[in-house]
Amino acid sequence: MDYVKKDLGAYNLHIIKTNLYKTITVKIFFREEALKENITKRNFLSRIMMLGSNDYKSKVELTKAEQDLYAVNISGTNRRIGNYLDTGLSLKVLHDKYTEPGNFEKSLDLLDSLIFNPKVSNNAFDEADFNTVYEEYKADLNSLVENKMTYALIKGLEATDYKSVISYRGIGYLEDLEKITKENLYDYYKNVISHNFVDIFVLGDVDIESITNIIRDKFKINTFKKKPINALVEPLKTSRIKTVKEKIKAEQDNLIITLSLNNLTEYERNYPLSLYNAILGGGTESLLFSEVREKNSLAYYISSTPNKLDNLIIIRGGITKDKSMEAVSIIKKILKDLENGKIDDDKLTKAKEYYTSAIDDIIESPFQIIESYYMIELLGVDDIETKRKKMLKVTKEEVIALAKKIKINTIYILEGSDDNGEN
Amino acid sequence: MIMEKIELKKVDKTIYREVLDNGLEIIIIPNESFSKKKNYYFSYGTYYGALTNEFIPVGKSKMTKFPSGIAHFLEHKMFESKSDLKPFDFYAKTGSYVNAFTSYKNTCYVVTGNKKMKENLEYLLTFVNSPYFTDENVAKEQGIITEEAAMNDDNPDYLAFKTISRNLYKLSPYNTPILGTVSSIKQITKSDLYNCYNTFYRPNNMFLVVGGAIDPDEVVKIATDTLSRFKLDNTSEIKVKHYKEPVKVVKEYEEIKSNVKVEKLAIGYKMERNKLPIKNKVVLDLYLNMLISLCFGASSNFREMVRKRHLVSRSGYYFQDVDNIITFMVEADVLNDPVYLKELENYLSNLKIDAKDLERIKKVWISSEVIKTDYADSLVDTVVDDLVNYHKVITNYVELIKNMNIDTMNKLINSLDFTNKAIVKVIPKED
Repeated sequence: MDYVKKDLGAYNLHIIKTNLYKTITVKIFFREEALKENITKRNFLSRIMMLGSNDYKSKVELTKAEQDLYAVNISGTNRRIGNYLDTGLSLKVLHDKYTEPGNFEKSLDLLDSLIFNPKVSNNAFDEADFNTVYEEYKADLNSLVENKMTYALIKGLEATDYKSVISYRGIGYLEDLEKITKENLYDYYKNVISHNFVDIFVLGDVDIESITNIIRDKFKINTFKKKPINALVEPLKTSRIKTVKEKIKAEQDNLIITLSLNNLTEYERNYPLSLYNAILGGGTESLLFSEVREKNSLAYYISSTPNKLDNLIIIRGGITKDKSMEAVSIIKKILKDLENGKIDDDKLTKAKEYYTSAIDDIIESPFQIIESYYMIELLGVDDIETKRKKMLKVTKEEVIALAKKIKINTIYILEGSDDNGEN
Repeated sequence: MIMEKIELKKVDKTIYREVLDNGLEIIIIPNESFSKKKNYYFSYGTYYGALTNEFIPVGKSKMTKFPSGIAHFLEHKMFESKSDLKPFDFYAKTGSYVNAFTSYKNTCYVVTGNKKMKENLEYLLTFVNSPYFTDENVAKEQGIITEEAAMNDDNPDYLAFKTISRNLYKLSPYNTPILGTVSSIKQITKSDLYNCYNTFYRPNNMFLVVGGAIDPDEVVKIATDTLSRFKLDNTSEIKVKHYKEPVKVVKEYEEIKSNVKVEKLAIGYKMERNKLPIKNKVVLDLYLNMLISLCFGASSNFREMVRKRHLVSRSGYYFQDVDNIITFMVEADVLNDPVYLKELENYLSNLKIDAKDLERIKKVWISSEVIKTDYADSLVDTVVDDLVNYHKVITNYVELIKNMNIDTMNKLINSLDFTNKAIVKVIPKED
């Protein structure tokens, strides 16, 4: 696998040459500072862009064109990475040697059309498309409460700190949706195209020179050079543990506990933190799983996820009705034990195995390979081989030192109850 | 070792097959020699799932009925072990992943990893052949699975699905969720579990599919050596009760009030399989799935119309295969119920397919057969599906797809009968 990065002025082109796949994958990242008021608009924008363009007037026409190009797969995703909102638009298609000459370039043209030739007239997006997205998006936002796990997570993060970027709802906000018009959406589009940071990745069995020329020719973006912002979110203010409970009609409690990470070094954030989390709640061998679920039969699911850029660990659990506080005391004890250095060598070894397996897994998917190079670009993290070496050297003392910097911030319980709490 | 070599035609892929003396069928899908990928995938399964609740237990003579949900319960319980080392711990130690799935037709234990292949395969074959059920561990599991059932019941989509299944099928166990019900789960005993285990977890009722960074000869050797340590019975025949599901639906209409914001609609159209013109099951499945793609996929006019007119915000369409019955299922989040239903009925009674569209979707499917060969896990899943549905590996999908034609499709469409249906609506409670 050869990796080349080229500065093409308005954006970086990253080429990963490999014969591991019969497909070529292209992914274009757009990112900007995470502002709450832009989340809904950005989601709206990627939905409407995937519906068609001036060259493909309807979703049906677009889909047929994709199918004719041997099922080129085009998709868009939005997420928040620390202080950034990040959008990835991607294309995956069989290499021309399995289809016909020119198929890949035509596929790129299609992606190019979706991004740079949107269905716009009189400085506004197409009305019919706009209304379609509006209604579907609204229905999605309205049904948010139906998925109790997601709903609890959102409420738990808002209870932690509703002003902080950590609580921004990735899915967006109904009140912001209502403010979007086909005109102001187009203004936002123009802003994204001209002001966002852009990185383009190509992965597959390609010729580096010719792919550079093709991309340069097709993606003529002129973004203003801007100074990058710091992706890392300020740690939460430490205070006494907040406990928030809310009732909802459900058969089960949903528990969210946020743990704040205070004054971590760069090294701690990239290495001991991954191991600490694997031990705490990273999988079926973790303390949370074995204590709360296996030994005490209190939960169907329970796990923890580190969000290193947010300076947070989030514990999530589906707990037997009325037993959440019982689960909380077990969790508190687990955290205390870790702080006091009660970590089996065996657990640490397992956590390292877990991590090195995840590293070996990257090569199994073109998107994972691209993602790992993108993180190097965005956050300046170590490359894969350095990561493996450093992670294997992490000591138990380093994990314990980290454990002492981790504190419960908020306990949020969405309590299952027989009647609707709103009544 | 000489094993059967099978070419997957038109996609440049060779796989291997071996049947051990004890009856276990093994399918091996190795990576190409130049591949640098390290992952491997094992799927060790039994042809036993939620559909089988009534059978003659091995060594007994009477047809016996077992509580619904027992296959899934048994799957959970296989993760118990007599020693302190449980499967989850074992695989965690090697940075690998273990899980299991129960469907209506089968139960599979899967392992994914990229190191210690030999130990991991040995252990998979060992733990699935070492049941350890006690009254205590059965009681504990009842707590966990009841939670799982409660979690599902909180989900209105699941509620709609559960209800439509009950209203469609009178006899077929498809009428009950794979998990069972809260009351059936509570009836399960240790001895029930051993009866099910001893009957269905025997090598001649099981399969092992492995793919990725593995050597075929090594896999067969590990499996032979490991299984030789167990006293495995492959003599007696398995006698399972078969149901002849009546064609008529059980209940045509049901409305449930729940705290949903958007109405959930589920419809099932029940049809007799022998009325359909295609007798080959593999080919029939291809045509039925192609029909779904063409009539309800992203390139269909119907989908575009319901979207443009804001009739649904989300919808899914598929065929369910229930022995003598084929059911066309619709699941949707409906924004405008009367209009959507009317349009759907109208569309179904006038289904038409353009030959050009059929050819285009064939191109898509063939591409996907080629792309799939890049991913050992997808190939393993496909082979498992083939075994479960057809009891053999299908080696010529590309050819079968190429042979699909509009005449056969039209004959199939003309034979479909959308008159015998059940409808379930989960609607918002009035405040």
